[in-house]
Amino acid sequence: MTQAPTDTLAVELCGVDKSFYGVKANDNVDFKLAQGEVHALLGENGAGKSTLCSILAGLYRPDAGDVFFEGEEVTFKNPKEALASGVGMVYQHFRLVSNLTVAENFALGHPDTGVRLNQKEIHKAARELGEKYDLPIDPAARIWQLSVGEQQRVEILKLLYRNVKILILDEPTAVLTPQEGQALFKTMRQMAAEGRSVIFVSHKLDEVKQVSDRVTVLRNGKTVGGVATADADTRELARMMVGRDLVLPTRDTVEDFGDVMLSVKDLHVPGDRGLEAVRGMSFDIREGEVIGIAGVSGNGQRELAYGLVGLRKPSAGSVVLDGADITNNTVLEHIDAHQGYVPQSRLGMGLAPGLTTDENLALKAYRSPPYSKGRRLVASAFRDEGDRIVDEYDIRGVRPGLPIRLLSGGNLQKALVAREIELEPKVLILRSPTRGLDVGATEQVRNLILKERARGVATLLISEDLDELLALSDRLLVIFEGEIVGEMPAEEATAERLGLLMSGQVEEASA
Amino acid sequence: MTKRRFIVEPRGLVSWKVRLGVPVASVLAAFIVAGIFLFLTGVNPIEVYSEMLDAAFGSPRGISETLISATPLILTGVAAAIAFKMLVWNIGGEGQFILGAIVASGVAIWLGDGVPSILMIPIVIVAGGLGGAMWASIAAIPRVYLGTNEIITTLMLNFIALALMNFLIFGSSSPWRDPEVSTFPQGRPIPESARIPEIFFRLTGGIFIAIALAVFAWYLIGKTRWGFAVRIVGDSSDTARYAGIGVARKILTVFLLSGAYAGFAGGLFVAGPVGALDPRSLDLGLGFTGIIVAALAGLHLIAIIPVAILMGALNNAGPSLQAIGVPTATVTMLQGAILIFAVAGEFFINNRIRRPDIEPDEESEVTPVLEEVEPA
Amino acid sequence: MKEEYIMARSRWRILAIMVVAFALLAAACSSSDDTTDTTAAAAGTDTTVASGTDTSGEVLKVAFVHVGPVADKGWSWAHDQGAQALKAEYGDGVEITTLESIPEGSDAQRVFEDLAANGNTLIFGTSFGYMDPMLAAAENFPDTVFMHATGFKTSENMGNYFGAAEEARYLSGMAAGAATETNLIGYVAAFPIPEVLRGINAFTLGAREVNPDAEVQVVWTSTWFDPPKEGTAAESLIDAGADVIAMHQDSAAPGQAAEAAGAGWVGYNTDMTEFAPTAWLTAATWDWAPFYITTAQQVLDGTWKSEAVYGNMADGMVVLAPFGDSVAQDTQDLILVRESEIIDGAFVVFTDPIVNQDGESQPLGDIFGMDFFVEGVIGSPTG
Repeated sequence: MTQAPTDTLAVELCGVDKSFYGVKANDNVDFKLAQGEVHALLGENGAGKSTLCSILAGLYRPDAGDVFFEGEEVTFKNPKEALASGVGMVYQHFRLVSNLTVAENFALGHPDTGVRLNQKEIHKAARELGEKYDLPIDPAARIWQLSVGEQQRVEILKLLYRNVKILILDEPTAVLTPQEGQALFKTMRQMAAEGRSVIFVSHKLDEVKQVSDRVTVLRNGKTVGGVATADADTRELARMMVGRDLVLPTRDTVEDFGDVMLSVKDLHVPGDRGLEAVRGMSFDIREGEVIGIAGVSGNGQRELAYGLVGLRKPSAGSVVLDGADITNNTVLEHIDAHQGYVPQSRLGMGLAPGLTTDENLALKAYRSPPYSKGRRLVASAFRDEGDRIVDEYDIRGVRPGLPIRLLSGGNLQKALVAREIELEPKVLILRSPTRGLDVGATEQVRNLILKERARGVATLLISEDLDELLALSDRLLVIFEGEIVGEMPAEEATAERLGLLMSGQVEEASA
Repeated sequence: MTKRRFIVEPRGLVSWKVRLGVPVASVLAAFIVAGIFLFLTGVNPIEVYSEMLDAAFGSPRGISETLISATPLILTGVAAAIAFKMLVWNIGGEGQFILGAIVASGVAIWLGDGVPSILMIPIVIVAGGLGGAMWASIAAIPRVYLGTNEIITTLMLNFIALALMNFLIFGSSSPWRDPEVSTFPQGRPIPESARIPEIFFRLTGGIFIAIALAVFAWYLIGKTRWGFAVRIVGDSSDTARYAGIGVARKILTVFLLSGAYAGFAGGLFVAGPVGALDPRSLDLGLGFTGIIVAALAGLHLIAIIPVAILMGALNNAGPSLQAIGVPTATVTMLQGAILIFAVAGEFFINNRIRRPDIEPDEESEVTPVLEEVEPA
Repeated sequence: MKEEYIMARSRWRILAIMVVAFALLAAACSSSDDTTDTTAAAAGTDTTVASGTDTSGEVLKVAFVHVGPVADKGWSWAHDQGAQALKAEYGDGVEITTLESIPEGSDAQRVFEDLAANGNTLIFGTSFGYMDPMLAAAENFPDTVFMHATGFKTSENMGNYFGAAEEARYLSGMAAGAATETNLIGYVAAFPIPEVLRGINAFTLGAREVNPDAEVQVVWTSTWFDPPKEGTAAESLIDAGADVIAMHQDSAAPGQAAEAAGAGWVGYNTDMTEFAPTAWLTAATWDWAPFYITTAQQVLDGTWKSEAVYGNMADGMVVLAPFGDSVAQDTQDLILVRESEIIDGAFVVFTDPIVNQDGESQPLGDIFGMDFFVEGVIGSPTG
């Protein structure tokens, strides 16, 4: 923020419209990017940030509106053209070939790449770039061997290798630990200092405050405003983003919880490739307690959840629910034992996308009255119960016969959580329950979780979102490579400490 | 940059008017396009269509013949539809149909004359279903437990079933072969008591049995606990697993049920107009046509009934067209055109086209989301 | 996720289109050369439709139903030649409808009934598998005359007709016996049924009359009309040492295989010289024209009676095809002598008792139920 950006406009977008499936993702959006600035694009999920970036990067073409690049009107037909003009984007989902080396990925699609690869030269360039921007990387490593953070580095270096003038980073911190995030911010400032322009997409206010020169806020596909970061205060940015004042709910401190409801002892669960993904985890959850599991994605969270709900057989250890050993029970037996589970993938696992909301709300309870009588379904019960739940949990957009996949993410998640709560769970296992939700929906889902906590439900909250974990958990566990590497009461937890533990630096964290 | 002139977007909720209107329009469009083609080849399409209409529905006998042809198609259509709904790509309806006919006629011959019709007919039809299910199981069990590709296995089993039938009649002195006829091998007639009585010209009561079985399938899938679980599995097997449903068993059962329905068709055909295991009467591609019927009906188990009647009418029109000098291939062309238009029509059922400057009405307020799948 | 979801659920449409494409392709392949013929048939009906108007007398509506395409140059073609002769004979007095590629089996009943309902008073079905459906149709349309080729069932208004092909088979066997140098003659045969066994036996007797060392090896194809299969069967016989190929099939494929291998060929149904001019020896062929004309006349006169007609060389239904160039003159002379003896009844192909495949003498029995091979045939009479 010390570096003053120049006044030269690198990019200007005027009145850009873009619709998907009848929904306006961008509606008459204006956006100006100065040369040499870090420009934050702030907005809730679904506000149109990624769409705007993708238009700039040539992935989408706008339905209407103009794009000016260095003062000239341009139409990028595809990302390749944009890249040739010096606009590069790091997508949320990386576009690297996982079987190739870092250097080979550098060469891929590069205009100088001929039939033969000059491996040596690329290796040298990659290493030098890495040193220069403090993003060290082994050019000979294959992508699949790298961590998510390292893969992101490769994406950024790859664009720098192409010498882009405009670098777009779409939610880059979502996959990083706080420490990695800080290192990235340093790199971003360095690039801006060199006269490159950086677009930083985020919905996290503190990050935006910290790293950007200017902020453009999008809401519902429209530009709400653009301000110099120094002039904006956090509360005001939040209001621009959400459209109202909003404070997300957090738990109140509880001194004593009830009896142990879920007891996990030395649990081992195999991963997809036979290796153990959960390697001896033990913890207890008491009635009314929320245990948070923090960790970078891919450290055994999925297998832990699968092992606990019966979707995958643990290879060793035990799980006791309310005094009964349920280690090797089937999924159905887990459901019957009043164990609720909200999986990470809503439409991929939690809901049947093509069935109606009513049917999805009966997905687990359909086997018994009122949903069925003997072998026969009771259509009126589906309708009545569905109406009641939709009403009670404020699930919007529901219409008879409408497949649930056409609801918005927040309403999907409310339906999913509502169904699990309706099963009157003793134990509730949640994976990233507010991931991808807008603030309003996040508020509602958090309130539901806290209400269940107050009712005495033992809750396991597995998440990568530290804000959420800190706001809801009574106790925090950190998972790293399938093991618990740290445990602390919420009061003692900080983002920094959790971050160090999440990246496996146990000594530093305890120091 | 200029504004786009049209925007294609999905409809949120599809009203029954659209759901019914689009397929009807598709069929009409197919007839019109095929009519233009006929006209260009020097044939009067009006003459062709009136001849077809007359042959299929113009006389009581024509209607009876149309319904006779529709009877097996209803069942092979249901067989294909229930499998496809579950993403089970059973294209072995042909083989399962033949096996149904083999087992049904075998049981009828084995039981002989002593059993009264009231028992015999149900036994024969059920035997057909068992035969079809058994044949399907050869592909279903490895599909469910070993993950083999059922498209390939069911297709192969079609050829094997046909070879088996030919062997039983042409290649051996099996109990299915008529010992009384030495001039040319043919199927031994099943006992009269196993034949479904004719009610209207050649039409037997089989049409009612087929319709009842289709309605039963609709009820089973749509209105029962088991059917609900099946629909969940068909929609998302991961979700079904998550909801505590035994996915492998459900897929297996549906696969077998699909085979059984094709087998019912074989049994009904034998007990109805054919009356013997007669390769010449059974090798008509009725199993394959069932796939087309199912596709045209949008996999809707009740819509299959009228679609099967339409296809039955088209099938029967072929020889009548020859009599007025139009090649029989016209009928195949029409069937193809109808299918292509129906598939294209499906697009208009699920999507709408509007001008960008006209805002959508309330129907599309719903926000579709592009949900990410959790990486495996 | 959404696209994948929808795509996975749409695969059945692709499958359905593939099935239709497959059916279209199959239809195109099987009828690649009958398109011309359909137009010919259409042209035929056109003229008859027009001719029906200017005759004051009654027009006899006659229909023919064939199992294959009439352009097959084989069985169905031979019958169609007869139909055309009928047309030529009566001109505007008859109106002919020809339906081809009508599958055998129960479905055929509908076709016969449609024809009857449309006013055809004489309907010929030229394939064995039409027998039962035609019988049922005949019962429902008692005023229509039905004639069924090659079957054995008759009713009040349904007759059947066939001919003693074995007479010409015997003569063609003589040509083959004289031609073979390896003394092995290959015989591509459709089904092990009395009609075919009768032909093979007659052929073998003829071959061994001129060449007592000749043997006839039989291969069953289980199909009347399947050119690739018939061709392959002929090739396998040639590989086994046969230098003359005979057949009871409806395509010319065995002849083409023989031509390619430099072997001789005895055809069937029609004069197929054009397909294998070098290999061609002769063949037993059909001339249905006299029979069709006679039958039509009987119906017109009201003298038609249901009966089983068995034609022969004497009445001209069975004809020996012209000889190929490679048939030696003295062989031709020998065969022609035999032919005249057959026609005037001095020579009978099958005599009682007869020596069977195992060299034992046995009673001849009913030749219409023949179920054995005579001496000199290699192969099984049961398939």
